[in-house]
Amino acid sequence: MRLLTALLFLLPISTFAAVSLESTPYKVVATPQEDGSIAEEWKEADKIAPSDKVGYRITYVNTGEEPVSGVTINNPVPESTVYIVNSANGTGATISYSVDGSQFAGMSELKVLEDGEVRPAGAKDIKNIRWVLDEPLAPSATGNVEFQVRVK
Amino acid sequence: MNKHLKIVSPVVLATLSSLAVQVHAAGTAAGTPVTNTATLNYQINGVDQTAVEAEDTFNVDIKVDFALTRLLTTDPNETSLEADNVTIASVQITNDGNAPTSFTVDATNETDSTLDIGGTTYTDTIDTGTTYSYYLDDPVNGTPGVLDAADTLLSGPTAEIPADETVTVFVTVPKAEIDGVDQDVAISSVTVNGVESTVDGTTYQLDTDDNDPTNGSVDDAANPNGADTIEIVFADTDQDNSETLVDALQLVFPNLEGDGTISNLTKSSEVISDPLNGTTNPKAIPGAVVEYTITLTNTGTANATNVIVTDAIPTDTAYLESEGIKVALDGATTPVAVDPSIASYDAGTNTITVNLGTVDGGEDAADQETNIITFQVTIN
Repeated sequence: MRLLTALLFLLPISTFAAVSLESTPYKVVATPQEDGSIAEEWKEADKIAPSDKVGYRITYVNTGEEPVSGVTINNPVPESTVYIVNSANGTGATISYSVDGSQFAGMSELKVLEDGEVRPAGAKDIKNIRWVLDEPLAPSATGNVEFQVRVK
Repeated sequence: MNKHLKIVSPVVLATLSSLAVQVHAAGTAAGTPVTNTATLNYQINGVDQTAVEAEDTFNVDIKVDFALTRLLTTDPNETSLEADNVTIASVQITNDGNAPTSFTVDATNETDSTLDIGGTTYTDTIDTGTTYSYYLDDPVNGTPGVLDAADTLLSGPTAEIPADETVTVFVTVPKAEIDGVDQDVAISSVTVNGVESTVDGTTYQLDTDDNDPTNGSVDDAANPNGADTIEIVFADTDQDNSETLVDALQLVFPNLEGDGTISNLTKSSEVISDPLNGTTNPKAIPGAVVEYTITLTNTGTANATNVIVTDAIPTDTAYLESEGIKVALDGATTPVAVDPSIASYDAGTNTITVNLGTVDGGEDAADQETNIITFQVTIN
């Protein structure tokens, strides 16, 4: 019992997170503009049906007192969706992809073996996206990364 | 942290196979939760910290999408008015949505319209009655694509049709509600509306495209819109949960059809007797008796049914009732008196009518049936 109390006391400290993370889905809607062009707007994810585009915005905040470094965000492409090529972005982040969840590389360097043939990876092969922040994150600093998928 | 990843080329791989997850053409099933999980790793003073995770989920909404196609791709529906119920339209409904969906089917006359089928333009010439019946084709217990006893008479909407599946609905009217002659065309339109979809045990009314909780939808009162609720998205053409198809019925009476052709119809006359010469070298003078012979052969390959011959008694002659009408049926060569139900004279219209019934056709001339009809008149 004393041991448990000690553990409970220690727990908040040992698991205290200095970074908060939030993921929010949006419905990506192509909206005609007054000048005739079409812009993509990110709207509430109320109504999402197959073949719709969904945009994810992942927001991070350094809530701690010290700078954090080596910030790496790993996001598997959700089930029932397909990654939309070149949709991942993130200011100050280096983006890489994986077709197997363990090896990461640039899109053009990924290959898959299908029916005995090696071919370049396509959007539907992408299983994971990874962002590595180029610089440490100062206390209170915040940012976000994004990517889009299409619902199968 | 080395951000310049060293790549061994080729970076293989997931080994893919064709047996990957099956997804409907219609897409992910309604109600499927889609969850995103992001994981952030970081260090403080070079020491790895416990990763933080963020997760969110939305549910795939009901996509209402369906298409109608004509069952018959090269021909209109055809009738010889033999069946009691005549199919005026044959509609295939394909559920292109991502949820099982029930549909209502409603027909209406398309007066004076045209329809192109297989390169031929059919022009509406008659309207049918509107006592419509709707039959759902049963391709398992009956013949697929044919209205038969196995098919189900719909008393309301169809049952819910699974995503990606196609059903056929026959629209019929009673034979008595079709009034026309050979080659007449009745064009009708068939409108189909989605009614209900059931997802995970909850039935959603497809009464309205639900993006506003205040729109009166029964479902929306209980389920305000949100990422984790199931809404309804109309994705059919015009996004109105309504599709219409036009189909045609053509009256095709077999005795005039292309391969059941009564083409060899001849009529000849012979003076039998006259009041001065009797039967010896008679002349066509007033009082003379003239016999008419109508010969009819089905030169087509198909049997002709319901063959009816009518002939007006020539002017200035009088039908000779004492002789009556004689008919040689089924290849017989000598016409004989027949029952009045087969051959009769109508004094009102001054015509004779002979109901020959079925006249066989055939590939060989020997199989092509010939019928002979005779009657006599006197010259006034």
